[in-house]
Amino acid sequence: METKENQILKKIQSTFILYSNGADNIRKRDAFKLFFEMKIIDVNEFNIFLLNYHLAKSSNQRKCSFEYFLKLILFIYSIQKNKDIEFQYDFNLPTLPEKDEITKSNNIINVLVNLNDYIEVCFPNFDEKLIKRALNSEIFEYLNDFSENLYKIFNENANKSNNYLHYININKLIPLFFELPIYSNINSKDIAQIVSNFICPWKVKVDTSFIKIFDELLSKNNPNFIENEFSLLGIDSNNLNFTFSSFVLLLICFGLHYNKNEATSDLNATEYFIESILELKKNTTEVKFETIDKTESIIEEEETFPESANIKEAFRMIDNPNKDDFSFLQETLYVLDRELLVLEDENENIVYPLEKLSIEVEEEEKRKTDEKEAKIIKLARKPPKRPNDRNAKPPRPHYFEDKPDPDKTNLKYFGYKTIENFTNRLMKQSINDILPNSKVYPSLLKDVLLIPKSIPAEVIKQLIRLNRH
Amino acid sequence: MCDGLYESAINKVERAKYEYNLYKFNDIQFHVYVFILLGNLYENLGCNLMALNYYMQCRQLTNKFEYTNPDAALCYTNIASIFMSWKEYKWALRCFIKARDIKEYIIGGDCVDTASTYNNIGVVCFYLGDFYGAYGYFKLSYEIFNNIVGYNNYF
Repeated sequence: METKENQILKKIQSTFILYSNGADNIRKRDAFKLFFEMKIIDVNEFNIFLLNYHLAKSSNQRKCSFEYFLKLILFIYSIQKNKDIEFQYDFNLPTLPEKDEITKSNNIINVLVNLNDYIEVCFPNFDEKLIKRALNSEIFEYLNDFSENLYKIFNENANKSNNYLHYININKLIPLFFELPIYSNINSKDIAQIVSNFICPWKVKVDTSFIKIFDELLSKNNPNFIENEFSLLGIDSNNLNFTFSSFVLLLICFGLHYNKNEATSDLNATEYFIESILELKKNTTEVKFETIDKTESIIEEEETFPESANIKEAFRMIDNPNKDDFSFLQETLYVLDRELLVLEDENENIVYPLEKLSIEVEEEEKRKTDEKEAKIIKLARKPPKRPNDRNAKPPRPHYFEDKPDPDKTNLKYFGYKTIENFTNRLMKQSINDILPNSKVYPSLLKDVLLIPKSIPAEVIKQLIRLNRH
Repeated sequence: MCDGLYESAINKVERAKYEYNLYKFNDIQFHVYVFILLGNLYENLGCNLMALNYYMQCRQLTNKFEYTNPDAALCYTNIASIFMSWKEYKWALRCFIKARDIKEYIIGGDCVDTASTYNNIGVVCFYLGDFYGAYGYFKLSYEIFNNIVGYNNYF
């Protein structure tokens, strides 16, 4: 009796055979189609990047074998369900099944991946030349400065799903073309031709019936005009949803329309389209706060992570005289001893100057104490002042306005030092004032870690390269 | 970390390291910073052996730089701070001298990072009893800071 796991394996094999036409390898674009058409994963920038990254790791970058194909499915399934799957399988060679089994396998894989609240999203045809030109790293770097305004336009007309997927329906996207000054610069025929490449997997001929949808005058009077026209073509317009990445690619293709003959550079064409026609502005802090939703403005509570095992070991190792910890220390010291310089024992010279210094310090202290005592003795020998003596000074006269004595005012702030003098003297004399008067020992200075906040350029280049393929 | 919540900080750093490893970018410097961060956190908690473990792992990575990146000296300075807490001043001195050689070769003797190592060598000499050496290193670092940072500086 076959187990469930073997049944699942056979079904995956059959779909693999369908798309490979009996061969042992699948082309990368066929793998993409399989994952998106069979509704195994959502069409996201993140998922496209993941697939590209993992497919690029295989030995043959343009094709993938059945083993690698299987690993991808299990990896994707584990991400969506947040589980770690462990199948025990045997890699048997695939065999050609009958037609009935193929239809069964297609339906069962949909059951395997029970995606609730799945939203059908369309993706662009990456085989087109225009879209290959649009996937340019220079253009993406240029558009980073306008990302917030673009996202603002997208977010005003977008919907959200429970999986945090933002998408625009075509019923709202076409009226958006009327609001933005695109129709005044591009024909409806060219717009229809470009949009037809972004509706994969559905395929449409660019006929008069399809071009009629993009007519401004007809759609203004009828609110359900677009849905009705698509239903006549046999397509449900509620299934035509665009993500932010496809939206941006669409705008880039409109920009490249001005460079049909490829006379100037693509970058200049996009700059002309974005700055002069759409009149978008670069990112500013004001736009950032407008795009933030109210939910994001709330302070998030700190997530409580489980305690790591390393911390428990660390506390165990503090005062533990176990052999395991001591052996680790011995090994590290043995390793360091080989690298570091060896100090020579020259302690005899160190002791000698120490004795001299101690003697000099004592002599200075003795002098100071003797001077103080001499002053006290002199003052003690003088007779006290009497008011009737001739040698006594007369008292100070009393004025109508009491002038402040400068001596007394200076005594308010740190003795004889005022604030004005304090700032000038603090940095110069503070070290000399402090060290001999107090027991301050020198302290170590820790090296500062300067961690960059931005991603390095090499990582960005890798990401762009992977997204191209 | 400033609030004293070392355990939560350690958990977050370990999680960041785990998520970074999912993408498997070959960026050595990220792992260097992570190991040093974790080592500093454990050192502030008092778990010196655990910190030493992370610093030695960092040393294995920085040995690949081979005198091309000044971050190679970070692990040696942090190991020396552990020895200072254990009152092993000779081991600390040897580590600081190694860090000094690396920085002088790469950056030069006129920078703030080298001045901090001179200060630390002076501290170790003070505790060992070599006051003349300590005085020389302190004066050297003081004048470098004055020339670069200014007169009204914290150091």
